[in-house]
Amino acid sequence: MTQTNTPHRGLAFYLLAAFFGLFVVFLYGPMLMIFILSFQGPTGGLTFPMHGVSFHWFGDLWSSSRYGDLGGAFRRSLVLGGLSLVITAVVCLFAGLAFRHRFWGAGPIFYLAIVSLVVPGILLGLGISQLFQLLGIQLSWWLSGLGAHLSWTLPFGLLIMFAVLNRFDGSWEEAARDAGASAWQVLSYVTVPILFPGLIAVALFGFTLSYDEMPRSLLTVGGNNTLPIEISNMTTNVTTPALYAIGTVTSAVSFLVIAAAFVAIAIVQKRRARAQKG
Amino acid sequence: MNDQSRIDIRKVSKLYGPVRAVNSVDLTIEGGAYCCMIGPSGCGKTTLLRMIAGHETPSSGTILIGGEDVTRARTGSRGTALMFQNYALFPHLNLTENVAFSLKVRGVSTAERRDKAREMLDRVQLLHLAERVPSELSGGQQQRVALARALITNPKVLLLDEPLSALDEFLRLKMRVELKRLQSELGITFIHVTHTQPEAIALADQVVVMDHGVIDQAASPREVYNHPYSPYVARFMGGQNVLTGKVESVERGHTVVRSHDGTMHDLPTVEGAKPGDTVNFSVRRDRVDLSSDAEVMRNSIAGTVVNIEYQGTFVKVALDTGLREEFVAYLDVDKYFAAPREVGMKVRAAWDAKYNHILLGQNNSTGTPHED
Repeated sequence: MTQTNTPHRGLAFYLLAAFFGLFVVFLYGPMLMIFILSFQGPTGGLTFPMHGVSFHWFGDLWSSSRYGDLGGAFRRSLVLGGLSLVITAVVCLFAGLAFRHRFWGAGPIFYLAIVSLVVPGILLGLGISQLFQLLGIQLSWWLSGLGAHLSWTLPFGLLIMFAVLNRFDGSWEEAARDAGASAWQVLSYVTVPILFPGLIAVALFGFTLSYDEMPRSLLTVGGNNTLPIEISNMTTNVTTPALYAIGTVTSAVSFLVIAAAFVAIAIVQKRRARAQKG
Repeated sequence: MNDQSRIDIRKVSKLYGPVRAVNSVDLTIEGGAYCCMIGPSGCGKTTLLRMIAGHETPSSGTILIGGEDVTRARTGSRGTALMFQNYALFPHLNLTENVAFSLKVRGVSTAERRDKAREMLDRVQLLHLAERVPSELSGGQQQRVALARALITNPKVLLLDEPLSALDEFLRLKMRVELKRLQSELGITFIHVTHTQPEAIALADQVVVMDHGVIDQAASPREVYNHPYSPYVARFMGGQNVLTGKVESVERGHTVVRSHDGTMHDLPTVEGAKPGDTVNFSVRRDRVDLSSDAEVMRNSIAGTVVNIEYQGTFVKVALDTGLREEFVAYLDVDKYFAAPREVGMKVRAAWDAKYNHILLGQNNSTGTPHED
């Protein structure tokens, strides 16, 4: 046996390739099935074969009242995701910057933040709903619900922020201060622009983690459901391909958000390229 | 000399917890001088530089620039500009914007700061790259941008933190010349932190040798090189052999010292020395001759040759004398090759008594010199 690269591939290669193929099938197969079945014809059912191809079940989603307040749930999830995005990005930026210094209590505060990643979401939701009842505040998706989501997105975003800051050289900020920049100018001219691509990643996680969060939402959103709860309810009482249609729509929204983020990064880079040209 | 850019450092200390990074330092740097701070890493030279720049606040003491107390003045408003060791160029800005940065934060109009920045880039011969970003430049070019960015505010004092350490040998020598030329053109004070001895000797009007947070010696390069204050300075600046002996007799204008092997050395008067006291002294390596005489002479040392290096303009011969440090002689090429030696030979290195230099300072740390 030689160590050189020979064109001959051993059995191990084919076994591992098959394993990887299975992995890909399990990962994307179900999603692809749902995607295809959502275009089921009007007379079709929840399973193959397809009875024609149509947008019938997408239309059914909006026109029928059988599915509850689906539009409202969708809108609420979008707003919640948006709020989580903004709050996560802003708080994690400043928290990440602060944690670069070993301030008093930094260790305990960090572990406190991480604990809420470890605690089961449903328990955390139960705790929040009990607290709100104890304080006599009504549960609502934009207050207790948002809080529950932030308990998930903030520590996650903070960990990503640490990774982003790992490649950030503090002497850039010192150089800016040396040039006479105020604290605000250092932040807006140097720190944020350099960190911007990383910040978009943090913001994206803030959105997607909130958008499909279920356990933490269940007991905290009060009377108005968010989309994941609504879809979960649908799986028990809806027996039409409309279920698949809503799955396709929500996936599309997630992909759109990610695409928007990529476009944002591309625009920033283009602007920098233009700045280079003068 | 201009008093505008004179620096007075008075009793400045910096504590990090229990560690004294800088310990009650007093130093005056004349306006328009080229000052090199030198010492091993952790000696406090960078901390001192950062306190002058305002990136650190002294725990005690005062710093004056041009007679004005700037101890607690804001960074960037005290007439200093710092060039960072890794240059710290802004990766998201092109060269023009990098150089114009300090004008931007001061609210100078776009057109004006652009013109000034381009003028500055022209001065460092980088105008043709004005629209590039730093990552597209070589190390030497990045350094010239950093220099342009620091100088655009017309600082009274330019602070350079190991400016040449990231460059290769060839560029280092080239930039060394450029720095010196720039400094004499601008006539402002340069403070240059380095750990490379030839760099300090070549550039500085004033060399400040530091160790463990204190200044061991601050003087002209010739003074520091020829008349080191302590064994540490002698070792760190290089080119010297450090010897130790006990005072044998004290005569008028003359002190006789007996070294470890019993050899007598004739030193100038050592203030307050009594017979039996320990005295450190040094002899320059290039003031030493080798002889094969076994006979014990005054002002000499016996040893075994352990290494011979031909250096082009001289021959470096290292002797094992039974002491911790090797004794080194730099010999004239012609003289040496008239009577070459071999490793393992027993020889005696001797020198004229007038080359014995007394080391008054007590700092006896090893100090590893860097030599080119």
